[in-house]
Amino acid sequence: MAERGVLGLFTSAEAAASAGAALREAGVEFEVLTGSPYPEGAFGEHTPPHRLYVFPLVGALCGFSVAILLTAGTQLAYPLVTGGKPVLSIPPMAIITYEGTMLGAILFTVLGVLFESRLPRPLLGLYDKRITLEGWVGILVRGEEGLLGPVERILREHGAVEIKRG
Amino acid sequence: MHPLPRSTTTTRDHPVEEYPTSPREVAEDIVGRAEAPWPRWRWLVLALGALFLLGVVGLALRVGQGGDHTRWGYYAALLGFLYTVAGGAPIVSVATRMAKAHWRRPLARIAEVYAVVGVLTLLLFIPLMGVIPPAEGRNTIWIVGGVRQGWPPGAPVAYDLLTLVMVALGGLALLWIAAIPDLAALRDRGRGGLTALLSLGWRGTLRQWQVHRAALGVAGGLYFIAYVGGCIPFASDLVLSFVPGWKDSIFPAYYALSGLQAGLAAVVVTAFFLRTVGGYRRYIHVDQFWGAAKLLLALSLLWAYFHWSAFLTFWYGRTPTGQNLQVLLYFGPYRPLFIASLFLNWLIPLFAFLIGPVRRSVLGPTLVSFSILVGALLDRIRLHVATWSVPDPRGHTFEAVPPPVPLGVADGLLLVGGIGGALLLYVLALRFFLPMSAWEMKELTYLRVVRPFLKTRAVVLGKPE
Amino acid sequence: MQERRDLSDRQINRDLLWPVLYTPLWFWVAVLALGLVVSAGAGAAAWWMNKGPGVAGLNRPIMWGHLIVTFVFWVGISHAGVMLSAILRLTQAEWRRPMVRAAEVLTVFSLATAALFPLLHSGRPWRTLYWVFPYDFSRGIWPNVRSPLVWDPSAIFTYLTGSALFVFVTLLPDLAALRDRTTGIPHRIYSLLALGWRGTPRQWRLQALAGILLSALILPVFVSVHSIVSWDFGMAVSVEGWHATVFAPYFVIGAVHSGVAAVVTLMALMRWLFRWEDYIRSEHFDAIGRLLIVVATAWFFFFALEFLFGLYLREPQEVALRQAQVFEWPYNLLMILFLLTAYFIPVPLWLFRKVRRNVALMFWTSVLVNVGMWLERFLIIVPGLARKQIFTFEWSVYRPSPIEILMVTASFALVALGILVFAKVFPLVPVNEAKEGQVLKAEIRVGRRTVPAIVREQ
Repeated sequence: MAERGVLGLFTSAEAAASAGAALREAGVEFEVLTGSPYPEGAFGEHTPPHRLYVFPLVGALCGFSVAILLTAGTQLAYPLVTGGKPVLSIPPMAIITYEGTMLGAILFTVLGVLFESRLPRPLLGLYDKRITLEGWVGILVRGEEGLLGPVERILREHGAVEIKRG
Repeated sequence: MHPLPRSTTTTRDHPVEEYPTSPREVAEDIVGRAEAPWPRWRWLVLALGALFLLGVVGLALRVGQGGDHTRWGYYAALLGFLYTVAGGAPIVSVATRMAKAHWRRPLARIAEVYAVVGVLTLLLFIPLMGVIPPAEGRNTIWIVGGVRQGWPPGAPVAYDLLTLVMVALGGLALLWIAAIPDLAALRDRGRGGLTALLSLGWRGTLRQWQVHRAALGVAGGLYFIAYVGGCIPFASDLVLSFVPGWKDSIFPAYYALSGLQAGLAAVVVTAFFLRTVGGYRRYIHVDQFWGAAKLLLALSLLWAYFHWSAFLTFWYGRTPTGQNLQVLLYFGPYRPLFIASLFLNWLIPLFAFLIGPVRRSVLGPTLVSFSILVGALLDRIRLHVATWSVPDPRGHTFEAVPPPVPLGVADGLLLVGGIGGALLLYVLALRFFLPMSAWEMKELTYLRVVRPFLKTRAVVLGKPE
Repeated sequence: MQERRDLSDRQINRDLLWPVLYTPLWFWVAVLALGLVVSAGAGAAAWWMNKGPGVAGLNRPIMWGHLIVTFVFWVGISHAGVMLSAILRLTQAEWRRPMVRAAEVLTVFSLATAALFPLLHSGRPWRTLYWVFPYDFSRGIWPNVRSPLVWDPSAIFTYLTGSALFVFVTLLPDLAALRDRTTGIPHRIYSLLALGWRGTPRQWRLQALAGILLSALILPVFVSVHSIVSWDFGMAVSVEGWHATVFAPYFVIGAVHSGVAAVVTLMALMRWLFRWEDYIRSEHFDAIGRLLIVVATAWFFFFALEFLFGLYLREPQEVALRQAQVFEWPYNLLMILFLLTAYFIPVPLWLFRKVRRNVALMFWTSVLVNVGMWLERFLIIVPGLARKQIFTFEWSVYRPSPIEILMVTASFALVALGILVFAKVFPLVPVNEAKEGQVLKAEIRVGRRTVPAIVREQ
């Protein structure tokens, strides 16, 4: 059967948290949608690990390599001694290489944040504006059609003011 | 009040360590066992005392061997090391108190007690007063306004002595003020004599606490100015002015900063020992080492930055004096020391603390702190021995790099004895003043609460200001 | 902390998004006025390009004047964003919330404005590309990597890119709020920019990590940028007062000083213009005032080092320079003004809590600081060049021309215009930060007193 989803909307974080606990007890995985950050685990949700820290390292290496190639390569292409300094002067090369390394790390970190956040997401899917506008909390469950009925019941029992299906 | 059950709660993979939850528990635990004997206390004092006596022997040998200032570089290095490390350590307490960080509380007293070493530093300076060459003919900060001779009177040694006196007195004042409520608690437990005297009849009225808070702020600010400002005459008179033509405006700032780094490292190492063998595990948690690790990382980066700023200016300028300076301090006879301190003070802290689990542990920051302390000592040896080895500090240009001065028996004994003596003084003072700031830990019991937050547990930190 | 109010998400959205959704009359008046000044500046720049640098008051040996002073000034102001945003994020200071985005946006616009000045100063900006951009336009001749003037663009480009990306990444949740709040074309644009943000715990966690990681990465860049700008001067041996080892940290701490003061100015303006009294409170000015005392005193320490050690070797040229700065007209007057405005008036005032909590006083003292810091850069650059040569017949006096003054004035208008336009399109106070502040708000009862508190993850 095709996978579907159900979104339960709660006006208070406490109600949403108790619904989350009930879903967890029932062995149902769910996702929480909020308009502001909450401490990790506040709704009893499970967040899979991320690998964000790999991105700045890779970016730094790339930036470092490009900067070294640029500074060393360009000076060797036309070896002109200026200010009595050697053609391949380590201190100036170190400065530009440092900037390149940091730029690479920053660029890749931003890419990593977007990637790990699973963005961009072309279609918003099951969502409600009131999550950001009113501070409502959304509990989203995806699964087979047959699962969603009991899930919807649990959500209503714990105070969901509206249920959306998709 | 929210007294909580003392069970440990696990929200991640490791159990969470909990602080005591009531002022009474703190009083019983910290103040109550103040008179209890420390394990192997006698052996510790004897060992440190023996080291100090070796230092006295070393000093006698050094004096007996005679010679000019070129033979006293290692002694000056010892002085520089003690001034910056022990002088920089109380700043940890001052700065973190200003930032109102709760994690600093268990480290506050550990840092403040290092101020007592200022007395030893002051005494150690006295033999040097006869060794340091007069300011005439040399580049120093004391010759201004076109008058080259005799102004200001007594320069430079009189003002270096004054600096050390100010730092010692300022540090002791800071320590004393911070410790008054705990001295009163000890007095109430039956300890008389000096403890009762120094407690000034403290009763803990609201007015006294208000005045105490203000006094701590003022004492901390003044000590900060004394130490950092004092690095200007100290660093320039005991390092810069021994090399003719060496103009280095960043050097006093670098000297102060490397002292702050090493001072914080000393606090971390002391905290480690107090946690593991001192029995203060309930107070000194991973949080303290983690907070200190972040500061150490920043200070290590700044250490490298200041070095780089100076080096780049000399390298780019390519003046003869600048180039000889680079040979003397970086690439010549003292290159191994420079490379060692580069690793110990910068590269090791940088790469170690980039790794999250190392930063957020007890052993990681402790080992890195050891590395920083060793690096700081080598750095001071490099700076003082190299510059003091220049035979004639007069003139305007630095023409010839002198050969390296090897470590002699007297020098070795001096270093070992000086550090042993400082540790002895510290250990004795820690026993007198209490290793943990009881009143600050009591304050934490009602400003830090662990509560359920929806389906997790969170720490609630009070911010009364 | 004592003045926090309970605010619902709806109220926060309404309060913080209204400048984006509605346009008051004063906005158009301000845009028009600032636009006119910027246009006048653009006209002056065009005049400079057409007639050559001779239209400026520059002449041997003072080849760097108002434009370069203003370049260094704006690079300094740009350090505000990172200092506050990055360091306060890393230390999890609660009082950062209303000011982080404004500081970051100030960084972006002031840095972009700063970057214009070396280009305009050269008189032929397109030629500047040849010796800065990493490409061998002249077939085999690449930029001279050994010159600090080439280190500058690499640092500024890195910092500008990093800051802009930082602003964008932390803007994502607010773009989602704007997407949900708007309809029609604005809704489509904000939907595109929001990248499909939904507010899952993973996304929020990565937002927090992004804030910390990018802060940690941008902090070393921020230190390096103004250090490199300082080395434009510090590497030169021939100019007295410039070849000092302390220049890099001195410039950086000066940048932090002027930048944080600029943020205070901006915060006061935001509070007044947008009526954000519930979000930008006296306690924020109190906290930032205390930070300013520390930063200003640290800056003064480095200034003292620079001055004192300038005289260390008692070289005749250096002594002549310091005599000019302290005793000769007009530098002596500027020196007095500089010291008073940058330190000796504001800092003693900031020692008093009542002053720190007074928004008007904080506004005026912060403006004074930046007047002083502009003068500081002037007193480093111009007297040093005026006394550059050993022979006194080479000494000169600098009189800025109206063209230069117009361009400098226009730069202030340009930065203000940029921030104003930004505030029209995106919220200047992070909406999600304000909401998070409400979530993490707590209280602890101590005896009969209720102490404000913050929730932290364990």
